[in-house]
Amino acid sequence: MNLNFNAVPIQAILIILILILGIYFVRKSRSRLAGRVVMILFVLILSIFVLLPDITTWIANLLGVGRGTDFLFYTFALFVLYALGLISVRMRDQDRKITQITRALAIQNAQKPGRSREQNS
Amino acid sequence: MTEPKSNATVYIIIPAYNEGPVILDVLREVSQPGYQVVIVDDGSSDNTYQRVSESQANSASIGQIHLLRHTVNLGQGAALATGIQYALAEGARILVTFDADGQHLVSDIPALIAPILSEEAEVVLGSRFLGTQQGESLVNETEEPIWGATVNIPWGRRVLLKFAILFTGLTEKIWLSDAHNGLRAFSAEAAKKIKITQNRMAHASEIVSEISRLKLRYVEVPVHIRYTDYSRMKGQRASDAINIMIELLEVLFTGEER
Repeated sequence: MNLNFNAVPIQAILIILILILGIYFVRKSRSRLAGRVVMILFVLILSIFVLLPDITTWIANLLGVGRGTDFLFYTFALFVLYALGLISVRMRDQDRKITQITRALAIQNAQKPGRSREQNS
Repeated sequence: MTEPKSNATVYIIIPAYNEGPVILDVLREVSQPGYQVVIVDDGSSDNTYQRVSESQANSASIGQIHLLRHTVNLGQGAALATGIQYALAEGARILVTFDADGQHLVSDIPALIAPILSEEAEVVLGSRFLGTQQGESLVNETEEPIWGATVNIPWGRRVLLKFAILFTGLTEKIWLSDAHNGLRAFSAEAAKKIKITQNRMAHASEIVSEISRLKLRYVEVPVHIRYTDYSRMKGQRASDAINIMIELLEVLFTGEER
């Protein structure tokens, strides 16, 4: 494990992006403290991975995965699946609410038949 | 008992999505026998709503029309569910679902609601394959309705519908002669129990599965279908069958949303 500060410009780019996005999400997050803490931890871990890429290899070996890149790839895949699941649950929830609102509105604003002879209601 | 039920407590529920060109013709036909007609405009982007609304204001000739509108397009299943909920609140005794594209014949309705009036069944499903000599008079190149047969059924659609019947039979253990016919009748009690949660097209299968779940007494009645150029153009394509299956599989995997 060696710090290679003089190494690659990509590290600088990634760190800046992670910080910007991290700050954006933490500020925008309407959730409780816990959500923000998790977000900050996430940013920290990502930054460490960027600055010390060898750590990922170390973790990978610990888990029985060949390379650090592979470890990151698997983690990423799992994360994306989790996020997709979360989003689809939310979407379904919203769809149901939209249906309810639309239905209530339609029934409330129904145009009933006009003046007619034998109608009494 | 003999029931003095007039057509005024029979509610015809018509979900309409972009049916501007034909909607008034369909309405004129359907409201003729004095039925209550509930149009649910499913957020059409054409002039369906305006046309019905204007004719409702202008002429008394078009009968008892109730006009409802979804502000956003939700799908045919959702539109039916809205119409059913509304009609029940209005005191409907019998509810009939009817497609807006003119493929059904109003003259089939009395036969459709007869089993409910006689309390022989709670749900009546229209079938285009019942009471026809299989395969013969089905294909006809004219646009005229032929009595006793489904008119102008395209070959591809026939195969598609047979697959739908097979699928419904396998999944619901209810073997129907026609699984996806838009013409159905429900008693008010049955309509209250049936929950339609499938907003889009899979509601047809969902209704069958509700019949099976609730153990409703049902019967199939032969009805006619007019395959006009318009309904063919508007109707479902083979790809829709795949979409419907995917919608149903979604329900299987994600659990029912009741």
